[in-house]
Amino acid sequence: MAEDDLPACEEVNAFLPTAAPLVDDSILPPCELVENNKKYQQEMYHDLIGRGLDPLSIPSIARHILSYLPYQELAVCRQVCHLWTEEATKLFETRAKISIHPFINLHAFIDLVKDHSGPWRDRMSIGSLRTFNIKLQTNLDGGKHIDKLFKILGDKIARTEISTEIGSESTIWKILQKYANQLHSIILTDALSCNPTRLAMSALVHKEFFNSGEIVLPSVKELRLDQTLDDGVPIIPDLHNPLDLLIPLTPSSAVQNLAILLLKLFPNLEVLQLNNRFDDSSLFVTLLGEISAHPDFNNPCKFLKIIDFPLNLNEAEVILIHEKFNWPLERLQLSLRPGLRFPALYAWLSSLGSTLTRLDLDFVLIPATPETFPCGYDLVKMETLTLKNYYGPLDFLPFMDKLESLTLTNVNLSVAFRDEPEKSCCDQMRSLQIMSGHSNAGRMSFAHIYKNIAKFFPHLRKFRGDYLSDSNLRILIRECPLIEELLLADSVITDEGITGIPFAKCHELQMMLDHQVDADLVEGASDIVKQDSIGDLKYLKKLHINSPRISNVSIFHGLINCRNLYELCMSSPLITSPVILYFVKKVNLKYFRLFLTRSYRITRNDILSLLEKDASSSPLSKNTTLILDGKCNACGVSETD
Amino acid sequence: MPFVNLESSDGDLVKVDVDVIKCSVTINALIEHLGLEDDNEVVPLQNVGTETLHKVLAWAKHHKDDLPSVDDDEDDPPRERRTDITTWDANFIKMEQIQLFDLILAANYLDISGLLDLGCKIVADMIKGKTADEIRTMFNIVNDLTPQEQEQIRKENEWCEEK
Repeated sequence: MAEDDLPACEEVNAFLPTAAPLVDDSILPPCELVENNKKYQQEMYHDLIGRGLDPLSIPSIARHILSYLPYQELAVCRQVCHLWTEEATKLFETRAKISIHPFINLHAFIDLVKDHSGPWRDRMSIGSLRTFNIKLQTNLDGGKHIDKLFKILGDKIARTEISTEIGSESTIWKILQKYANQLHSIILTDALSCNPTRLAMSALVHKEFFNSGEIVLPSVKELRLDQTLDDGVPIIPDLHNPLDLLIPLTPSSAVQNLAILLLKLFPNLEVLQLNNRFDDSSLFVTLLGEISAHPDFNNPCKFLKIIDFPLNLNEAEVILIHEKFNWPLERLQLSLRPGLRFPALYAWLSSLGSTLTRLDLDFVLIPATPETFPCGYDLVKMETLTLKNYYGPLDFLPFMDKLESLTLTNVNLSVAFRDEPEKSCCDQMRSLQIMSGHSNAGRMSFAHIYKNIAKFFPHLRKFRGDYLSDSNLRILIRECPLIEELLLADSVITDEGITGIPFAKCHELQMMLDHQVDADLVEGASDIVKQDSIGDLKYLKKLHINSPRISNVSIFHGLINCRNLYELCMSSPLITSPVILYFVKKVNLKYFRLFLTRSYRITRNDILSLLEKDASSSPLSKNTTLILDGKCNACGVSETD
Repeated sequence: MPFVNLESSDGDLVKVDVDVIKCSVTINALIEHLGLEDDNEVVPLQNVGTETLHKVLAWAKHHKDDLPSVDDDEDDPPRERRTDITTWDANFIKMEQIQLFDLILAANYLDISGLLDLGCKIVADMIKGKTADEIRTMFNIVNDLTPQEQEQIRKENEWCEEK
């Protein structure tokens, strides 16, 4: 072929590496070079030169290979060479996680791990455990076993979740002290004790902690305290008198102490969650005030970005937070009780536009006439938005450029999706969840809502909705072809909606399928005309569907075409086991979870006999989990084979 | 049906259906960036030999109708990856180690994730049950760890060794 015929070839060559050493060529994708030749060369492979042509010496490939190995093999691979040590250790760290569940005492746990048996094994890492959950009922106290525990845990713990128990505060204290410089997350939750908070907090302010002089947990970014207040009073002892733990405190001094505690112990705190009893937001405002007023506090940007409990603020408090503290929050939950919709609030929310990425807004009571969203054009960083009890248009959504996930609970959908979108307005939106409530259950079935949803969010990947009908499911199948997750609780969908086969024909097919599944049926299946079948959703991975009207037909003629499905949760009394087994076998499932609930027609014997018959080529592969609930006749069979 | 001509490092031209080679992110990007629409245009692959290229194409042809692979559940912590291999793939991948490595390099270079997965799974299988010494011998890897480092790693490994 003459070069004159190939004008584009030169263009291609211009971007490709010129006479580079062999080793470089072998690892460089040309597209990357087209993108950014020099940058790529410098960054990606300067350290590879000289390592030879072996794919095992290229970090990305080595990591890829090692990722297929179980942890014992990874341990061996760590001893091969530097590169492998590095990559295998990284894999360990990402896999490492350990939980100790209630009713296992520490002593038993240590024995368990020492014997390397049971489910702990593949969770244990080589001294690089990152997460440690303690939910112990007894025996964590006294520090008797704590050294053993530390030996098991290694020294890379970065997150602990601790449920307190009577007598365990010294252990909690020891754990915190041991990992003082590396913990980035602490979760203290109560267990069964009568006064867990007192114990947890007393551990934090344990006198040794304060006497040591170096009482800081600088790396902690996240603090979650469940059951923080007992009877409205946070049990925070006076720091100067740690022995006076049992003296009841007034709320104000308690909040003051909490503020000092937070500032002193957690100078870099970003996430604060105070659950359950912190209903009274005035305490929170007082807390912010105390923190702001404290001489140690100088930079609100570095402290507390996420408040993870619903706030219920009045106008004066909002003004105080907005104008005086000027707190740059990233995440916020807010309840707007009646009478709490005032201009100051809108100004405050708008001022958070440059930081806020997640907002949960509960309007509590739906007003008589539609209201406007309290903020809109300013919240440009918003990624996740949850609206509860909202009655108004969603015309602000196009301004939230980064919004990916929207959850609407008890929202008036007719108003929300009333207008035709001017353009395909939220290209980036991936997840839409619509929860029904008393005021919108009927509206969930309006077809124009789904048409508009499809127009509003053309690239939707995840949809959750209640009360979906056949025709509305069709709209979604037709208009939102990229859907990967479809969660349809309490739907009235029939076989017609799932398969796209006309109702009368569905009925006929159902009679046939109820009796047998044979080769003739399989052959005939391809001739049946379908329109907008669920199989058209090529990317569907996860389907949860609850409808009493779904039968074998949906599986045999609809779901069987969903080639990427890996989680199916169905609740239907009409499904029989031969069809399920045929389905599980027929679809080449890589990883699959099947939940069958209320499946009265599937009996334990059906499943067992079919499993046995096919023992050699069991349809339930290693990665398949079949879960049947108590309302299913086959309950008790929970196969993970 | 549009075609693209691929030139191997040995200088051989192979005419390929664009639909078949679309699994290669690299070639896809080249086609998109440079608009190779004419049937006569050539994409030179200086790092893929003819034999390997044919292997790659055989794999791509068999898998051309595959849908994008399903990701692991995001809720679960990262675990050991799944290692299931279809019969066709298992037969396809039966080859000498040197060919296998060339294939992995080509898959990496062409950015064909399915083929790279397959190759890596096979290598992972080869590693299973071997000692560090055996692995080094098998793959000709130089031991660049000092005795102190080896001792340290051995000590850290104690927790997950079989008893």
